[in-house]
Amino acid sequence: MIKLLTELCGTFGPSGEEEAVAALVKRRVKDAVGEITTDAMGNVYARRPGKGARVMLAAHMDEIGLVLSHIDARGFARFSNIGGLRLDMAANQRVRLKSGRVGVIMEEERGNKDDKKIDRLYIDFGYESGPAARKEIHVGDVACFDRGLECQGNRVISKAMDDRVACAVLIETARRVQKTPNDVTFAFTVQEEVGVRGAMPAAYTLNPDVALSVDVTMSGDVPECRPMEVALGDGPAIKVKDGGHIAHPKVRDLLVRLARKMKLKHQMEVLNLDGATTDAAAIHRVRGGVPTGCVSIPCRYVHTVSEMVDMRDVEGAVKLLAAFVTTDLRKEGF
Amino acid sequence: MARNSGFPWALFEALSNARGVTGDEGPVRKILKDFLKPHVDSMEVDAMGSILVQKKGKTAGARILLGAHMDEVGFMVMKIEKSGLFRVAKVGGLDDRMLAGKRVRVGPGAAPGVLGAKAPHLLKAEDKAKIVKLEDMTVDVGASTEAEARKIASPGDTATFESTFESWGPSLVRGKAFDDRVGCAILAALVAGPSPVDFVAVFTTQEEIGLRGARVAAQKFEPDVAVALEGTGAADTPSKRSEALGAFPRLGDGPVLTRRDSSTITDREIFALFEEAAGKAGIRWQEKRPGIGGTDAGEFHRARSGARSISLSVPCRYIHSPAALAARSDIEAALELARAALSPLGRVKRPAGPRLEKS
Repeated sequence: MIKLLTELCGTFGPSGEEEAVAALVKRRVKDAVGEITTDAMGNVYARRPGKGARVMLAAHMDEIGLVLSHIDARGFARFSNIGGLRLDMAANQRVRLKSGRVGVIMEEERGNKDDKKIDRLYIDFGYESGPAARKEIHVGDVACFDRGLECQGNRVISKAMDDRVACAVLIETARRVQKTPNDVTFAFTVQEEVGVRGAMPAAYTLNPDVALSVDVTMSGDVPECRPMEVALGDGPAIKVKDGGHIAHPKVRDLLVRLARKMKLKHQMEVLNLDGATTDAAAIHRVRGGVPTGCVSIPCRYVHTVSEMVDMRDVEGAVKLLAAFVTTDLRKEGF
Repeated sequence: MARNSGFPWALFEALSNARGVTGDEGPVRKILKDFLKPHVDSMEVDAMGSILVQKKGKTAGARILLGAHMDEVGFMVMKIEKSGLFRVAKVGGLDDRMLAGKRVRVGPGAAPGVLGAKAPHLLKAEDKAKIVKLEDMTVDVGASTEAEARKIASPGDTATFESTFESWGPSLVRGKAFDDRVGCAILAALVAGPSPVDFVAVFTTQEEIGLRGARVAAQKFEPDVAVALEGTGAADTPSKRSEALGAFPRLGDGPVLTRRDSSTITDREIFALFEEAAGKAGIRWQEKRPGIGGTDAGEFHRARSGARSISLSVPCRYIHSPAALAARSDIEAALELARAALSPLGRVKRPAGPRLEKS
């Protein structure tokens, strides 16, 4: 699974430019699930049709990044954020365009402190002149952070762990679960980081009886951080609430029951941060409403280039999802 | 470049002068309905107050939705003081820096008023450098008692900037509410003229406070592809950071195509379709600065199963003020570009998506 995670995290895919991730996901999931389709937004659906309850499992393919907003006379670029970019961590990082060109984000040494922080930052792609730059880079070009994946024991560090780790969890779940009484669709969504935009049409299209989103969540196990129970290595987290979604109690309780039954180490998640949420925030309000829960992979340093997860939690998440989709969800009242 | 796209200037002038603060779009709706009536088989007004028109073209093709919003930023009466002065709140994105001293029209009868603030003589030295907030202003219609003021307007009534559309210099026009009456006029022109393809035109309400009319209108039609026609902010006023940070879009450089704003990531195939249509028609266009602003496309693109969406805009200086400026050539070219894009939009294919049985 670490191999799958490595290639997913290493693939270019800021919100709105998820094509490469979508192509990779399709390649990796197609042996497990026959019916793969795409919609107008670019969401990818891998469906295993069945007669039972219609289940949607969602993980988003996009990652945070940036978009070039201006190329100046000497070839330096300015940018706007894609998603919740943390400017304090963006400075001094390397970024990569789809073309492969690498640039460094730097802060103006003597910039006016009254300017907005983002207006003091620029990207140096190493061009020798404005015209040379403008031949290759343009307003609207999109970049992601350029950082490889490191695996040390159980702990894995990478950019884009949010939410490629969940893409890996969904693919692995699809591979392991061969028989299910339900009609299961693994939905790999677009544009989550800019406001859960892909999941809304995806949920409309699928019209599920019950849904789960799978995403990373923050943890409370590092020095001087926000108070939060979630810790790396303590198992997948079953969401109670976050800044945009309250898990449906029936879905949440079923997940807890399944985890207990197989003696799976797990933890409850309350993410107390305004606006911090997952695709579930969109899914649960589509059409007449969808009972929606969320399984989270605890992650340190979310929205930095060094998002850290524990592979035991990742493995636990696969087991929990596999148990969920093999449960007859009609009998559970969905 | 001089163009003659058939843009309905008289309609645009009437729309700009009409009063239609968010939630109170009636007068704008009336002008549009009267203009559209001879050109359409049917039109309806939905529960949100948006006008929905199904335009018949030569062929059917993809389900195209074109939208423009009728509402404008303005004010709402909150309270009437014993002195006969009105306290008002902002409706939509207004900038406190440009409010004090502006003339407004208040209430259903459009009574003239002025946004009053303390005179400079009465200010403490340290307050002179501060921006006066709307909450520290009153609207003065010349009433001297609460009872007199109540004859003019009640809490909940709206007020607009006072501004009359006019020509401005050799090539510009000036007025209020160009955002988005210019889009309404372009869309009305598209409905009035011949079209190569069928499309749905929606004149929406309540865009300025969160794209509310657009959401309902788009849900109704489930478009394959959607275009928001807009007036957008120009960024060509002088700044010492222009070279470093960029100063675009600019008046006179053509219609604006958006790749990404705070509401929508434009589908890249649709963007390319517009680029190509502009190229073929010889229309100069320009980029919108990424990341800024939002339009009805934010709702269009995620209605039902999703629609590929884009915003096509006219650059306007001093937007959300009583004196927006726009270039005649940009307006004409925006209409031409929208028209040139219709045929290719009709050929857009929707991906099949999962084949689900009804449950």
